[in-house]
Amino acid sequence: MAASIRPAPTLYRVCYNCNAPGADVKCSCLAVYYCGLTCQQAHILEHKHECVCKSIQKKGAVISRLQVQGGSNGVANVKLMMLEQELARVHYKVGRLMLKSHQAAKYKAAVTHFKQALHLYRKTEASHGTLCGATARAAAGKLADKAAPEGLYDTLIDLGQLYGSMREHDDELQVHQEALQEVRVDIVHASTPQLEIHLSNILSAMGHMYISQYDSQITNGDKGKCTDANALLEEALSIQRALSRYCMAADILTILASVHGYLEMFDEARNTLKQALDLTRRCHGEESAKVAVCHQRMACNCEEQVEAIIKQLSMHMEYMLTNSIRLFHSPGSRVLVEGLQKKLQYNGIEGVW
Amino acid sequence: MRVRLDTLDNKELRLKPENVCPLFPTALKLQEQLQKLHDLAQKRITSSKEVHRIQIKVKSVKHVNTAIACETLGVAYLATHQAADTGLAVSLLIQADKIRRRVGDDDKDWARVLSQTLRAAQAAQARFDKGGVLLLASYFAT
Repeated sequence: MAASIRPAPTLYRVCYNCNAPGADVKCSCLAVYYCGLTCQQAHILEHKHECVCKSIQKKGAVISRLQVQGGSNGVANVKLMMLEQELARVHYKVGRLMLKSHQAAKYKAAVTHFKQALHLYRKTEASHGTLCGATARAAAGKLADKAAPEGLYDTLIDLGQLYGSMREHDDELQVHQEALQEVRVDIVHASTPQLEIHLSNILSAMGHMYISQYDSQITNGDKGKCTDANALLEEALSIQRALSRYCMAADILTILASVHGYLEMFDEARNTLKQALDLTRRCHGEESAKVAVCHQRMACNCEEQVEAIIKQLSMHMEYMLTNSIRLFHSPGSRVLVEGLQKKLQYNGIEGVW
Repeated sequence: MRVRLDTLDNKELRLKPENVCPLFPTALKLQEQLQKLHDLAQKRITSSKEVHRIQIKVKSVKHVNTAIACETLGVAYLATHQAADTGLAVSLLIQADKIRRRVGDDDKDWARVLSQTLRAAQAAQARFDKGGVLLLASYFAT
């Protein structure tokens, strides 16, 4: 009989999920143990946040140690930069996790994490120029090309979205404008497809922000916001089309159709939705949830147009009824009015009188 | 609103907004609009049917999204104000309510709106069943 090479689990370790003794599988944060994969999977949703926080603590400790060693040491500074970027990414992940939990109690903590991530990304960018030594500069250059701007823009977009969820609309607008300004400056320096994608993402996030504000009556029915959203989304769409990113283009088209609906351009909205439907079918297949969403929007568009037509007709009807009341008081038209009244009674509109 | 009478003496006549008559549509235009309303109602039904079909295929019958799709299609049928469509609307709305209860959804607002729509649809169906002239006054009373 073959002997197991796996060491016997120590009895004092208790599973974090089921409290069974002899847990021998540990999480990547090294802080908790489980008796097996099933228990770890069952507990992951609860442990996720704690686990990422522990990794932040660990990385923070290493960074402070490297800061002591740094100064004139180029290699140590590159290591420090790498770790700071890593830490920024972890902060971003935690913030995003809290944002996606849709729990208002966690939003403030999420803002702190996003701000921390932004601070670290900007610090890494700034320290890139001050590095001494050719090897260190080359290593840092590669590193900066790889990750920094992406992380920065994603963080700014999500921070804006978070402010939107917290109904802090001034901060939301400020963050989006800041992101837009930064990405435009970067594109002027060096235009890459990646930066173009970020520009498009920021533009569509801003467009979405304007629509949400209009939809939730914050702008008091100011259609100027919808016009702004229309312009931003059109620009985002042209970028995505130029880069042949059709799935993203379909998503933007769906939002654009809502804007056309708000601007009472129903035929344009229907055409936009047809394009979106066509692209979505090509990207996600004939029977996907996204195709269903497009059809749902089409139904909504028809409903909105019906409402607009009925509103117009009822306005005419109201005017006609008001005028007929005026006529009723003029003696010369009494005969005519009586005829009209009879006709209205016959049609069952006497309740309106 | 201002109407300039002649440019020589620069006289202007001011009209009160309540005295400005909106442009009335002609009978032909009205007919066009009614046809448009009919087409839109049909398009709405077609799109809602497609949503309903995809939802059942993707999420199966026991899903909250299927209940929403049933409700959307039911409301689209109800908006046609036709006897046969109203019957379909009632059955779809009942189905939506059943699915909602089965999946244990706790959205009270949605439950309220759904039951109100169902009651309106049942009332409309009862009026169709009764026969005779559909009075607008009785429609508003419900």
